[in-house]
Amino acid sequence: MEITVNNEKKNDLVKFVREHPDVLMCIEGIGVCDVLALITVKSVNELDYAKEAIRRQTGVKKVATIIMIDDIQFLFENLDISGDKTNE
Amino acid sequence: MHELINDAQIPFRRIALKLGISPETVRKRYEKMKTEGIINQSMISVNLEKIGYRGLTFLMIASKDIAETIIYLKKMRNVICVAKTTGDSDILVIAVSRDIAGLLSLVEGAKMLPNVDRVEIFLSTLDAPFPASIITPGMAFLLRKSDAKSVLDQV
Repeated sequence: MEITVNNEKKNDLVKFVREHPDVLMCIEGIGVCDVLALITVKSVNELDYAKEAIRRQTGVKKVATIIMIDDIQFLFENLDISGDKTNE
Repeated sequence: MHELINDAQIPFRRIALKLGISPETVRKRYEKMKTEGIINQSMISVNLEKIGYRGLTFLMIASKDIAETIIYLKKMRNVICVAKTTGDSDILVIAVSRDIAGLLSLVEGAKMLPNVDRVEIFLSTLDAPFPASIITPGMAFLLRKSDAKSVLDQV
């Protein structure tokens, strides 16, 4: 979920989201949103419930949902682990 | 299983002490979980910061040809995760970068791929905590623990 939130309420929101048992990851950053949360759900109802719970938090301006419809493909072979820490 | 999720290298004897059962019982339960496919594999948790990575980038990509774009993305350096999505975007990419130059290279590279219409980004640092108990095996790679013993530290 891409969450846009008032800056002064961001920490409270992150704390709230991270407490949810189905949240894989909740991170602050910059860009298309202020907080990005990866959440696992079993059904559309669960998704709606989670989204509404976040939307009801103080300071939340927008919650956009991206649904992963396939298994996530991890590609750790793309990491540069040669030990060269200089620019790519 | 909870103990093994937190530390796959924990000795059976220590689990036994914690649970008040014998190490042999722990071993039998472990073998049973492996046989039944409950435990797939044990993985290492690498602290990416220790090998020079600093940034975590999420790319939300809209593409006219999702399958082809995914093929290209999977070959891109430092792209560690690709998933097909539905909603405003078609593909979610997770990538890591060492610096601004690496980040720019990643974003520009994604924008220049054939059939890509739009690339939105979300940037974060690699120090976000991940809850170990519910993390997927793949995500475990990103797990940042202050006491993580990265086998790549010496590389």
